[in-house]
Amino acid sequence: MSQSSSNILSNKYQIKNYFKLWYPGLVAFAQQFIKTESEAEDVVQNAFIKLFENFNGPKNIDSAKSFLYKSIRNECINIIKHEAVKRKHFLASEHESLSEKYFLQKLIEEETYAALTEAINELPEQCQKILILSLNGLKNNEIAEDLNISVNTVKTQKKRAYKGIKEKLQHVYFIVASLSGL
Amino acid sequence: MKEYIKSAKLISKHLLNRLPKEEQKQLKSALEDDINKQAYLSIKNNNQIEQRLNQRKKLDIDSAYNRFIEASERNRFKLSHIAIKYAAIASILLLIGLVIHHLSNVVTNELPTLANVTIQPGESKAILVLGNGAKINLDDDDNTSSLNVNGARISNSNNCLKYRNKTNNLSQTEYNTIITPKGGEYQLHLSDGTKVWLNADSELTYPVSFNGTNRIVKLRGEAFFEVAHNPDQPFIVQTQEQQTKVLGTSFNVSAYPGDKETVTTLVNGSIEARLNNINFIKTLLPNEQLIVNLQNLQTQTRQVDSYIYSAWKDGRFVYRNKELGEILEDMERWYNFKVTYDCETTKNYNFSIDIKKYDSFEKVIKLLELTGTIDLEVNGNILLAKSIV
Repeated sequence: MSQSSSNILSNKYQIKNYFKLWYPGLVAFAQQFIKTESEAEDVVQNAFIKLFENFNGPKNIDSAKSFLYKSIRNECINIIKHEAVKRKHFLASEHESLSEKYFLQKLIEEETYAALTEAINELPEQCQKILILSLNGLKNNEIAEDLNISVNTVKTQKKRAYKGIKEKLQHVYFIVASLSGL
Repeated sequence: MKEYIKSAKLISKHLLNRLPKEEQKQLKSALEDDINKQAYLSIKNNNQIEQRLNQRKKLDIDSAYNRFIEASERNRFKLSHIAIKYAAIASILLLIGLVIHHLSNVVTNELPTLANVTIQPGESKAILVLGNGAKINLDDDDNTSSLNVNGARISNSNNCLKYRNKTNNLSQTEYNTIITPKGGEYQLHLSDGTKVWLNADSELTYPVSFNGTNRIVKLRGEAFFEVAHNPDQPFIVQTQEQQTKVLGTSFNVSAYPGDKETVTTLVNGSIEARLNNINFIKTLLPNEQLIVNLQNLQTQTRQVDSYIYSAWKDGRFVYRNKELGEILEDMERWYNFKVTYDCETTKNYNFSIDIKKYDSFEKVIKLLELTGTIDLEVNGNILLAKSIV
């Protein structure tokens, strides 16, 4: 399924069609604020429910995703503040996570990761391996050696992978764009 | 702000070693912005792609998804207009009802042996009434047969009645009517290509060929339409109080004479509904439903999962949090029995079901009794529903 920013949610029941696709990335995003995975999962669930309940008319999917990011961040901040109150002080790490800068930065990261993982997941297995090694910093000849294939193969596979990924990356921009209008 | 957009793109390209020389300068200046720099460094130095890929496999996305679906339906129930008299019981039953939804595909074998079961699921059967009043039985046993009527060729096979225009006879429009009894259903292809599924205990009157400015059919009961696209000749479904105008689309109309409401649900395309006696026009979008109260002509539009309302045409009974009274009313028409209740409150219990229509009635009973809240007794073709207190 290729998604462009012109996709519209005309009905709140269509939200479920994006749930499985967005869920892992959003959980990872929530974990940039609160460490526990199960807590992060709860926060993401709540965000989806809020999106569902507050749905009042056709919505661009990117702005729907922006809503989720904002909602998740807000609930995470509340949790952090709550814990801090109990402890009677903030942890050093928590201070940073309350800033808007942190929010935007983590957002860019997670959106990029999400786009990359989505694209990578769809590639044939060898293609995936090559791409992951490349992203880990290995050079073409190192990859070739590692996987026992020719450098040429590495180059052509990378080319093919990049083509598929480019499309997915278009997406990141619109999300960041709408949220930058914070 | 657009800078952040650009920088994400630059970062990704760079990570894949595909950043062209011209853009490298841009990346450099973008990275002078602290936010971009931090994001970039974070991904570059501590690449978590593999973790993300693994997490995707580790997370139980399916159960998270089911959790969301259940939660969203619970909320819808809260917002609905159905009056619940016994709130405490209702919320417990809601949970049990959802359990049934999951169990419905698991119920198998050990069926209670009911002696002399006379309640059977319905089948494909109907009566065709021609313009001259002649009645023809349409049922399973019929082999493929066809006849010519006033310029149209009608063929009957596979439980479907098909009309094919042979000549455009403009002199006199002949109307045919197809009637389904209780326990019957039938499919119909009109001469313009429109497909109609007619539910039990229903009646559709239509011209053999569509010669007018509009294509008009009259419905009593329930039918699902897949209208053939023709913008020059709008398709109109008339029911007792309402007219539904269609350009090319799929939708369900439920207008049984005994019902208090006419319910129109749109699957895809677009339709326009008008009421006969008052000034009211409403255009529906996919997955929207129009409910018209026939007594006071009040209208309500709401968003629904159209699958629930059209599943019958695909051979399933699907109900989400429906009252027993309404569920059994539908089933009465299909299984052809009569239901009596020990008291009014029994009708108010809620259930969620998703089962095949052609399954035996015993299966239905077993499913409904699983909740432990009601007891169903069959006597000939009478069903007695009792609350278990």
